[in-house]
Amino acid sequence: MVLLVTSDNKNFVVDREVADRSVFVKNTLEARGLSIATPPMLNGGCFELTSPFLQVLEYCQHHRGEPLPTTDDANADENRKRTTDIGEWDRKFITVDHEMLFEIILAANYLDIKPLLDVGCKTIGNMVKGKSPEEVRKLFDIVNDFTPEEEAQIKKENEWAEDP
Amino acid sequence: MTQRRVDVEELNDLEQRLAQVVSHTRSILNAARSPASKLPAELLSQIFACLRTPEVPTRDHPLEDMWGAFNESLATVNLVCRYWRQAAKGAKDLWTHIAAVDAPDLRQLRLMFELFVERSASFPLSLTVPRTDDWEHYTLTFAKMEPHVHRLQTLTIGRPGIDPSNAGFFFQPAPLLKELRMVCLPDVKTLPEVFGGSVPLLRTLDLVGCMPGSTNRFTNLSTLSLGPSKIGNFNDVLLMLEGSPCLEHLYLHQDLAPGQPRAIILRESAKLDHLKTLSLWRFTAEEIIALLHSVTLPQHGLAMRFVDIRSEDSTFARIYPLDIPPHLSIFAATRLEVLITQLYCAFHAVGDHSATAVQWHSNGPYLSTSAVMRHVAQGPFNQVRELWMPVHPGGVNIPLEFPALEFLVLGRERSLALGFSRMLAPRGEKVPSPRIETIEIHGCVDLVIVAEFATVFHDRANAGRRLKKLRMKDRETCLVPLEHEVDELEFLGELGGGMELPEICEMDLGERWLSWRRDPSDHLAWYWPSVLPEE
Repeated sequence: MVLLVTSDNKNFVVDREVADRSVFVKNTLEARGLSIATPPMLNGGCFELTSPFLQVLEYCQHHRGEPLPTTDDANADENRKRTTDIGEWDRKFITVDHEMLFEIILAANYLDIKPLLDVGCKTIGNMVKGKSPEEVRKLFDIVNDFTPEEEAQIKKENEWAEDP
Repeated sequence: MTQRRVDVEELNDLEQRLAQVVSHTRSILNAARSPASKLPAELLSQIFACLRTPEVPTRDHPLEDMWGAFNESLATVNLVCRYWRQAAKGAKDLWTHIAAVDAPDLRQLRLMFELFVERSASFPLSLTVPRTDDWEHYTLTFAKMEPHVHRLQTLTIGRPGIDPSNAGFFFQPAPLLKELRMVCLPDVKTLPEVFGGSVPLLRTLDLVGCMPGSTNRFTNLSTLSLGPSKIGNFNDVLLMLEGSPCLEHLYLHQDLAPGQPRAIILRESAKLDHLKTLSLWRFTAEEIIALLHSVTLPQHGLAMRFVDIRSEDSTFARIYPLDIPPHLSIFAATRLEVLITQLYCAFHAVGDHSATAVQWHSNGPYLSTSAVMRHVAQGPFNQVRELWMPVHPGGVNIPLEFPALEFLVLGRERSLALGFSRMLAPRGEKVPSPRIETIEIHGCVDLVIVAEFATVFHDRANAGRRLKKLRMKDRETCLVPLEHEVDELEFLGELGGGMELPEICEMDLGERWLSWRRDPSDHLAWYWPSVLPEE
């Protein structure tokens, strides 16, 4: 078992196999030569860690024992990212509000859990596909911050992709 | 008058400054309140990369649609907000895949090339040029890309037309090129010294309608596919094989240089020590037999796929198993395609060191299928983990006995109604093919078929063999009863009749399947006699 302590001082005791889904945690544990009850401090930085961390733990618990993606095959990595499908369980898991979704992505990135990061990125990507810029703004609560001149220039720049 | 003009200028200036302030304030507002703007730019660029769909086109997703959608999405993210635009511009690898598709006029095409080449900086490029009859399209593409051939990593061309105006493009050195897929025009005799003969990294070469030149040497070539071509000769191919010691996958089409002794390529070629896959499209049985007797190929892990053999079943029987030379472990294949009446020979010959996947094609007579299934039942065929049975084999009361079978594909159209489900039904305490975890039903199911399968799955579950996953493609009725008998039900949607199975090697079953789950509250009870009459 491994004790994980989040930046807001919440303790989580998890199986080593679950903790090892995070390359960050795995490397931290290995670097310290410990296998039991080691407390890596996970500094969440700009996000509140406990809430997404619970989600991340659930993901790691579900996918425990699965082979981790290797980093030595660039093509496989690229293909994995390009495939737009998301597994049934993962799709249900990632069906959360937008704020949580982005926090999960941040957490997955920080903890270095590539498959979870992929699921998050693909989910956002699928949301963006087929939408207009205005629809994307509305979806993610973004304000159009271009000046009229900038917007006109970008629209001109985008002419290559416009329908005739 | 002068005073008034000055005021207007000042006002214009003030308006612009105000717009800048408003814009800047909005940027700050975005960063503060939108979770999407809190992501670091490198994560945003990873999300943008997901807008790119897989490059391998399918019947449902042709290349043009895929890249057209990506180009649209790329233009969209550029216009959402300053931060997104900055992230998109900064993600150089987003702009490395130049797909000259969906570009309705030459002006747009020109704009696209300029934008992508500039934003991708010095990253390696992939260029896709689809098949089109618009010669100006080609000419512009090759002219604009000629200065960047040295950056090409992947090149796919539907119809290049190597004519004098394009020659400059094709004869530039391409030191980074790893994948080249080309369809040439009939008047192109051989692919000459492609890219100045300087493609040291080339790993995949896929040619249709032309042949490599005799002087081509590809020391790193891993995959070679030579499609139909009425020109060239096999000596060139032979020389090329000798110059490609790393070759792992070789695909040869029957219409390649017709009239020449095809088998000689392999018989006389240098050692193919690393060959893993050998696919011979529409070669005659005689050629295959000659090949099997003479070729020296690695003994282990070689998958030989004889696709669409031009022979009668009786000829095939001469191959399976009588003429298999002992040094060639043909049945070490991981995938084996057989026609329906060839199954008898194949199953008998395979034994325990057999294929792990069998794709059962429908283009054979039904007459002997019952006998085939009896032989199957007698086994041993212990290594088969995947089985594709798109048509019903007859002999509905014969259980499907494959001890290691995990994945089963069943049915096409009306053949589903002929009792597929009964082959899976438990006989007393014995459950046929007990390790099956996933079943895919390709045909359209009606109420009766749903009832049949639900009952069989229920019985298997009671015997401790509950099905984990059921995938379905078409339906005319409610699937709720099935949902209760399996752990997971996936549904693609309406595909209509007349569906053909894709090439087994091109299948990616994980793709494109959509989730489908109904409210189980209106579950109905179904019953089907679990004791089936003996045939």
